[in-house]
Amino acid sequence: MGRSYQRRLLVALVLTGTLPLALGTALALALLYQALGDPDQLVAVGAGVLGLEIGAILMAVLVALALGGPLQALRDGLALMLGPNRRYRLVPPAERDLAELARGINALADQSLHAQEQVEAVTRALALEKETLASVLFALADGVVVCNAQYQVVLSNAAAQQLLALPARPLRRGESIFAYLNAALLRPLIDALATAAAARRLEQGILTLPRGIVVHVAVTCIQGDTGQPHYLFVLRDITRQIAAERSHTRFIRDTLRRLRGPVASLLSGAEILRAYRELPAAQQQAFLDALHTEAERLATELDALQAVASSDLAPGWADDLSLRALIEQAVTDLAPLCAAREEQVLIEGDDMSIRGDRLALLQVVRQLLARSLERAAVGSQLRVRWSRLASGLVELTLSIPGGRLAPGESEHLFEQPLHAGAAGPPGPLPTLLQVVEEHGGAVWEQHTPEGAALVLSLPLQPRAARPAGPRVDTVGQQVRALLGHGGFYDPTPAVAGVPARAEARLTELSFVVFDLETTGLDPAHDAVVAIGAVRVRRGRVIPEDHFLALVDPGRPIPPAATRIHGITDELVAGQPRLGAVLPQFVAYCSESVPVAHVAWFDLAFLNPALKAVGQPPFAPGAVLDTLLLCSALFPAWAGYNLEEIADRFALPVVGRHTALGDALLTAEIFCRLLHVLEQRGITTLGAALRLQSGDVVRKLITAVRAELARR
Amino acid sequence: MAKRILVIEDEANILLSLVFVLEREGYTVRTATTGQEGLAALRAERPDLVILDLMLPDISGYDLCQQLRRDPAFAAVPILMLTARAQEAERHKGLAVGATDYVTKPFRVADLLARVARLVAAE
Repeated sequence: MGRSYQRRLLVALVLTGTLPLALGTALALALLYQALGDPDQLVAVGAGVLGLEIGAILMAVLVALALGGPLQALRDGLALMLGPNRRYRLVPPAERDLAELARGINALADQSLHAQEQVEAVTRALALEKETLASVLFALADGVVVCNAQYQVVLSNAAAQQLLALPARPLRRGESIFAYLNAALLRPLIDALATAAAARRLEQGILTLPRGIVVHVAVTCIQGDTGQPHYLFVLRDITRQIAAERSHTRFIRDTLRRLRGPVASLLSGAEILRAYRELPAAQQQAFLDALHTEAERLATELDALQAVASSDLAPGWADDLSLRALIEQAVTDLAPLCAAREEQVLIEGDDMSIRGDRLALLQVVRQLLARSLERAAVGSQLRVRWSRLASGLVELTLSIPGGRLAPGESEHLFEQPLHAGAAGPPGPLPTLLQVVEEHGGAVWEQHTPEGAALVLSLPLQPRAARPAGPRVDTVGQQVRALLGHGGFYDPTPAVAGVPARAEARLTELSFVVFDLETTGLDPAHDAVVAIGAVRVRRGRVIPEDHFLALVDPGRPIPPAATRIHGITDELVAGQPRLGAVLPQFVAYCSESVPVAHVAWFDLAFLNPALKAVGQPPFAPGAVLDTLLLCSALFPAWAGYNLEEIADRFALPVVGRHTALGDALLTAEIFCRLLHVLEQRGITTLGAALRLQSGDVVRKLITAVRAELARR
Repeated sequence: MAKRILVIEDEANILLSLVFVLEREGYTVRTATTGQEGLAALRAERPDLVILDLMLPDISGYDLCQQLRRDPAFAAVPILMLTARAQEAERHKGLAVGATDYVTKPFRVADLLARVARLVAAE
């Protein structure tokens, strides 16, 4: 269309400009020929020719002007449409063809703009989707890996990289997934998915990764547009879950067995004493002694059970919650009630982390706050404040200014079933009190000089311990295995060195629970390769507050030791020597009471090294020993190695293959022991140190020595 | 004069042992098996110590404790809570509502007597 218009334009120009020119020239030549002999006529002819020429040029200029103005406008309009303003449209000029042209261009531009906008909308949606996907992948606790048909990794998120990476082999694009996941187990699943019949199917299974992590793997096949299948893997670390489940099941089974013995003895003893009144005094005494022994056994079992029940083994549904956020949410929800009663709520307290069911606890707080608002004097100012208690609890107080609850009202309130949402569970709803007790808390109405208040106490819970670092077995474990079977032990308990803080209360002290890895079992010839330690405060393990150092032992690590703790010469190459690490470790321990399992073993390595660098050694009488404490508190237990004790306290045994992992497990055990100590009325550090070096322990040591001698 | 102890406890077997060992130690012991009985006994004669079970058939030991603390006549009587509730939060609640001491079942007789002696002496 554009080209034919140009042709017509040319024709017009030729007709209007050159034709008059040609006509004029021809006319001039004819006149010149007729008047050859008359110069006057020639001048006249010349003037005529000139006039004609000028006329032709003028005409051409006029035509060009007539056509060129609208053209220029069209060209400028087009430049605008193609560049800065694609919504600009040409104004059709008066000239018919040009107007048609302009309308055509405008129609085209409309079509193009529409298409362009559609593309942009789709692109935006895609980008958003991609961004969302990326952030979901990134934030997901589950590992996600996408592989192509050749099983090469094309996409993976941080969680997957952390789960699957091997010591010298990070998870990278292009690597085969089977370098990280067992091909023999996974390949059949994947191949089954690749068939068309299996479209959209999900295959799943549980795998143990080389580092001992247990993962649940779900895999599905995505058929792309290209016809090339891709495989999507979703990996979830279930190591702790599995270990916790196993330890719980084992714990319940073992506890039942343990209880049956003493109860059987009690029952038969009591029956005999009642039935045979004529028993000789000596025999009667024997039965009475038996009854007492068995009752004692039961009592200690109860202490252990209580320590488990009070422990912070958070249930699967628990979340880490911000106490402040929970209260602020409740206050927001009750804003209409506040407004109606012209009341104000003041929130006072540093934020703290609790663990529990978010919705259930929110309802508890909301119910308590609503009742406080209803009973407080209209127009008053309510205070919601909380504080941390030494016993690892947080106490939340909701004041009821100018009012109080009627007699029996609080009991009624606590027995109220909590509202369930639309998707609430079927069957009877839990009451407020049940929810509080399930969370290990208590709730009551308190009367203080300042007035009435509703009080809620809940345990403060640290996040679940996640030991970091390489997972390796320990020499400590070997020592403990020996001990479990009556191995060597020479703790020479020293009471003389009870420290000045002997009267300090256990609930107020901070502890450092530590564990060493070594090249072997002989303190005279072997050396330390790793130190792990973790802080215990207010009866809770603080996993974030830990110490971990690999140490160059200055000698080759025997393969036997590496087999146990997995620490190799390469791993410790370039690490500092013990002398350089110790000052940091001592600094970490300062202000805290040291605790270890078989502390004697660890001190036998640490103290000579401390002396060598001019630091004062640990006083053996000032270090708490979980083995000694355990044997003193539970003399009837069969063995006291870490695993046996963990079983008794239903503690999952995972991550216990590093200095830090062992320190964490020992710390969890120590927290249970602190609880039992409190139950038994042993409240000071001095009393605990005296207990662990007491008679029971001496008897144990004698028994162990006798066993050794017998062998 | 012998110190007077009021034991409010509904488990007959525990009551049997408690009365026996306390009387052997020379205390004058009164007993009650419900909260109401306990309140009546308290009003009849102010004891030097109350040993209080938490799970009574009529009212909770926590409530009884709060009621006593609100009454000026009994605000200063030492109260030893003796209970099967051993959760840390429950112990804290017991002390928060006014108990002077808190002992969980099962208890060692010697430990209980030592605590009783301390509380009565302080009174």
